[in-house]
Amino acid sequence: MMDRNTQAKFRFIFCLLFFLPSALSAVTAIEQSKRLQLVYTHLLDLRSNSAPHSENAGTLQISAELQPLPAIDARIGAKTEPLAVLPVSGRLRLRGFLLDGWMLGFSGVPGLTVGKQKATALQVETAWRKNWGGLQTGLRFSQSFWKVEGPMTTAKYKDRLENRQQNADLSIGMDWETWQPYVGIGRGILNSNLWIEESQITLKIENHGYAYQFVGVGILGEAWSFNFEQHQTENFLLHFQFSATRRF
Amino acid sequence: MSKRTFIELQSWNFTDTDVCFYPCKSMINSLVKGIYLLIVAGLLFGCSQADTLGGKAPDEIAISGTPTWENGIGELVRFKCASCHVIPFSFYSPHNTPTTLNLSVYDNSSNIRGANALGIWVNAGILEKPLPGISRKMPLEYATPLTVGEIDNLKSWAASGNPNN
Repeated sequence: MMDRNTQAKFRFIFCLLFFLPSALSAVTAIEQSKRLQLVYTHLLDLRSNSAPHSENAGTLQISAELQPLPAIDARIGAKTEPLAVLPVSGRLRLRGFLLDGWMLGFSGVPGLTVGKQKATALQVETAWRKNWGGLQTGLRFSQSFWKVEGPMTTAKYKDRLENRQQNADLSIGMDWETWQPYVGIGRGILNSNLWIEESQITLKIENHGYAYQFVGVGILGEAWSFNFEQHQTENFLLHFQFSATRRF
Repeated sequence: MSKRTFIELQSWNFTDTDVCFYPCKSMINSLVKGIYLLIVAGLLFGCSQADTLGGKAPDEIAISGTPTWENGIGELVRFKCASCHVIPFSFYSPHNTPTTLNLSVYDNSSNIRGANALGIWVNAGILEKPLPGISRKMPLEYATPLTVGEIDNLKSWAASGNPNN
């Protein structure tokens, strides 16, 4: 087993390989504002978080997902936005397998209030997965709607963030019995409106295309499976997710 | 919970074929092993970073020679002031932005004041403090900050009567 220092060095190098810092050395507040909106929006997105392993028709999966959030520098101009975000976010997801490797997935947040912010979300996905001997492939489409209301740019006013995101991704994995390593690439389109009550303006991101890559490993048990998935989104966001899934 | 079930739970006597509502040994083992492996994978491979541009320095418009509207001040004001103070308003203009000020041009046009009116406010100190009738100093806190060099150039330009060229 590696000691703690070796682990830290290994992790640092691994992160460097993924993380391509922005070429910009100086910015405007508008660019900072758009980037911050993009970061929060991508963190709310519905990603695969699962090896492309095909299940028998009729199988249901319930997953609990955890996502540690990166440290976020919320400075815009000379102001730090007073965003209060938990260090970890979670989500429950239901997936059902149909005939011929088709899968339908669903996740929702029914007006949940966390801190001072109220979130409502509906996220759906469909995928086609096929096992080719020891090789697994998956093609997935997802659609996310998010509405978050609460103080974001000042503590006094109630702002509103509304996102619509569509993703398509392709993943390829290996079936090594218990272990299911996989990689994938995806493309998405984002529309996001941030209504700022104090300034009475809407910061819009319209039809923003983005790319993401991911690498993950699943651990497949009889009734339970576990998954770790690392994402890189555009050239400015790295985040990872864990999930524990119970099959029925 | 019956006494027998309690004893079974205590002594881990469940088998994989038991049908039970209580956690079976294999299930617990799977969970613990899976969580352990995930934590190890997360420690080794997990990267969580966001480049929000928050710590980046603001762009600076450098001016060589005497600052005039044509020599640098126009570029500076368009870049750092006219993102809000423009007619028609940009998507970024707050609702209380003056409706008769267009800092993207130098000259007045009909009822719209141009940037040739800016020197009055700069001389009055709007870059340092709020002024009577204007409740906030400029640029606003969340706007792109002016650098020390840019403030000096704006003051120099305003003090010399905000020349066009």
